[in-house]
Amino acid sequence: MTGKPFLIAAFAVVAGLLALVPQLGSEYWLGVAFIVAMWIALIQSWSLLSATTGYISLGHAVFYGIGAYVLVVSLDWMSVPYALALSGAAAGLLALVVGLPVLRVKGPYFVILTFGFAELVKNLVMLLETRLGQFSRMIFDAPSLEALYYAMLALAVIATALAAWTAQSRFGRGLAAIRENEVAAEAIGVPVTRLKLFAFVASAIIPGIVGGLLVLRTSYFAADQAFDPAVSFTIVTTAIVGGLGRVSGPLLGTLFLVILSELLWARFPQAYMMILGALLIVFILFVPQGLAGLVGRGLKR
Amino acid sequence: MTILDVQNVSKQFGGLKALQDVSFSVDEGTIFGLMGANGAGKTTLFGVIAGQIRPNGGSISFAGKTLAGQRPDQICRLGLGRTFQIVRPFGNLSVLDNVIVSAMYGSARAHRLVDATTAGRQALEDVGLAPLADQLAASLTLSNQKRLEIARALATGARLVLLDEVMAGLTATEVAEMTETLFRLRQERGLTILIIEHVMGALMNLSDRILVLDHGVPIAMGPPEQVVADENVLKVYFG
Amino acid sequence: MFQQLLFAAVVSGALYALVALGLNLVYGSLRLLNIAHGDLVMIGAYTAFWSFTLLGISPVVSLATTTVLCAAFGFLVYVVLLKRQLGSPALAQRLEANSLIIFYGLSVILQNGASLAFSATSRGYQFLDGVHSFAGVSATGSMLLLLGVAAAITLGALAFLRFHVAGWSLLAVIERKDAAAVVGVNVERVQMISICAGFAIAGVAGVLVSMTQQITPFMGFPFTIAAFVVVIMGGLGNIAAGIAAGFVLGFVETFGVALTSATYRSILIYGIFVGVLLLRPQGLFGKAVQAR
Ligand SMILES: Nc1ncnc2c1ncn2[C@@H]1O[C@H](COP(=O)(O)OP(=O)(O)O)[C@@H](O)[C@H]1O
Ligand SMILES: [Mg+2]
Repeated sequence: MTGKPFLIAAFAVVAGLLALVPQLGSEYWLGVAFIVAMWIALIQSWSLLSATTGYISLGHAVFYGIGAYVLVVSLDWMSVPYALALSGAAAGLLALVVGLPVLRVKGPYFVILTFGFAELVKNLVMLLETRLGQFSRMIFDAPSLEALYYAMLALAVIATALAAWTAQSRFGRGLAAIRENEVAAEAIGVPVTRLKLFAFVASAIIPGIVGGLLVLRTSYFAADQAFDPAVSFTIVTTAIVGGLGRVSGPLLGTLFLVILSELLWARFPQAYMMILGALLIVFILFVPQGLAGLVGRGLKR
Repeated sequence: MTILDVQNVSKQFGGLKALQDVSFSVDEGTIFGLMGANGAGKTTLFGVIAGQIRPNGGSISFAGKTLAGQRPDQICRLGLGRTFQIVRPFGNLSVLDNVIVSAMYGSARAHRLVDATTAGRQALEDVGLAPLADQLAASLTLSNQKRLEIARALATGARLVLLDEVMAGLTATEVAEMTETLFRLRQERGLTILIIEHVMGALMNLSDRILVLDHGVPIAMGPPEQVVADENVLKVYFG
Repeated sequence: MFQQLLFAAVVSGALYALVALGLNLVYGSLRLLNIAHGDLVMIGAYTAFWSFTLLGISPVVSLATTTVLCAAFGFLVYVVLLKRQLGSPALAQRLEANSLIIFYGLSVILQNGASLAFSATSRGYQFLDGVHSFAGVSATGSMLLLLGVAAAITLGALAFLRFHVAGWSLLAVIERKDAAAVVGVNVERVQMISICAGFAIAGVAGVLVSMTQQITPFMGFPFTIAAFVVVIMGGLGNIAAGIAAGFVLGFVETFGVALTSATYRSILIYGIFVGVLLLRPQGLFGKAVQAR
């Protein structure tokens, strides 16, 4: 009963239920569902690089931020769908351009490099905006929340499907070999550099579009918020709490995160962040298989 | 027919000359032994052939194609597989998955899972790991991890494999079995083998020809009987 | 003008050298990248601030209390989070690989805890703010104190490593942990003391910073980044070169900002940071591999 058909059915049911949320007619629940879809899309995309290859990116906010920035700037010239496509393309292009040198750096250095790189880009965009005399930007005729929600849900489904496909594909096996031992992977014919770059670009595109959608939702862009390192941190934490290496991990992690955030974020933002920090430490040290691993073991019993 | 041709290869690490002007060639379907004390440069030579280490000079060709400037994965896809003296298993993957990924990406080009599984199981069968196919590679004993190294090199579909001290740590019976296996692979598949071994008896037994390195310098080459009688070799090995 | 800049560069260089020294100690002997390092600077700064404003205790005294406090915190982290993991080789390897994430979690806890407890307002106090002029340089007493303490600690650390037996065992652990154990060095103890000393040094740096700048709960991160730049420039685990690199960064930052403008400060620091990591990955990685 735990076979592939079962999982696919379970994911389809979840996606179907999420698709029905607008029918509730509640702005609040629609907002929550939007956030759920957003984190699923972000974390599944992140997993495409980091859970598969073990290159943990602590800078994915850079793709999200670039997507947001490109959207808000390009809306002056084009309609929303094109602007969103451009957001994704810009994020992918950024990954492609910086990927080769960045992916040569390994282990903890890669983690900290991605973080530093995201902060560098954030500061550059902030400087650029200051030079242009823009401290923040507003969007006036954004699409309805319902439309934005369906777009976000579509991204979440695509990202999840991509992760599921990768897990059992030749590509995914090559990435796993890279994670386990890069030198040995190359020695058995895995084109290591190309595969890593491919995973990096793939993991950047959807976050770029997500950043664009979120700006449309808030109708407001400020560089320090769009490139907020807390986004990168939340992605990594949620992914690890959910469990790396399982497609259900990001879903369980997101569920947990959103419940926690609904309970705490508005009233006790610092306590919320502290709990996230503590969860990160506890899970990485003591529950490396994450919630998905725990649930999986529970089901087997 | 020559399958591997190494000409005047040199490699320096800083001031250390790890390989000096090494030349030899290996005929297809033969077993070629590489001998020398610890630090003689044997593993470095494998690294240079398989593309992990860039030589300072010299040229290498495999099956008529030059390997200069090629990456290890490209060299592997030409049909050259290698093992690592210090084993590098994909620890968190099952033994079977270790060889499946080999078959998928190596010169075997078994892109489909069914084909790769068949090729992988065959490789495990060849080295006697089939019963352990579902275990995690990290949980294997060292001698089984050495077997897995061989299986992974074989599963790539290689025509030439470089085996780096794969018999170290095996018992006498296991050495005999492994020797048997290598002979069989050569016979059945026309596999060419370049092998480094410390177990001298085994190397003598296996090899059609042997090259002896001393501090990176080739000091003798020829059939086993001739090499053991060589005065340079005697000097180095027995003082 | 030039002398004044030079002096500013030396002061900030000494501070960076000090902060980086603590980071280097922890990385060197435990191979853990402590990204919460700057947050200990923040803790030291708040300790000095509250001691001074609430209790009227001089920051000079706080240097001592902070040393004890941060060392105790280091001990706690060591015992609760690290000790068991470092004990088994398999767990230790996972710990090394994940150290950055773990300490990032700790950093988030410390920053938000401080913000919850003290609010995010930036704070400051006046101590030894009389200006002394000499050789074309005007400096407050607090700056001179900062310089003196930072110089004393870094030079003291160098002398300790050079001339004291315990310093040699530390160097041995940094260089080759396994070999050090074989020749009878108590690796566990050296690691425990290193983490306590590393944390304490960061705390002391925080006390010094609080005398000369405004402090906030989120002030630590730039110090972490600066310390990483310094440590990576000097070669991870290489204590003496790290101290020299601290001054290099102080000079580059001070003169870089003087030549452009203050808005470029973060870009300069992050730019150097990214550049150093990108240009020397092989060197860095080589060092990391040696750790095994
Ligand atoms: N990456 C390297 N950097 C520096 N020196 C190396 C490196 N690899 C090997 N060496 C040195 O080159 C020499 C030959 O090593 P190696 O090829 O491993 O010898 P063997 O396999 O014959 O025992 C040794 O002295 C070794 O220390
Ligand atoms: Mg060797």
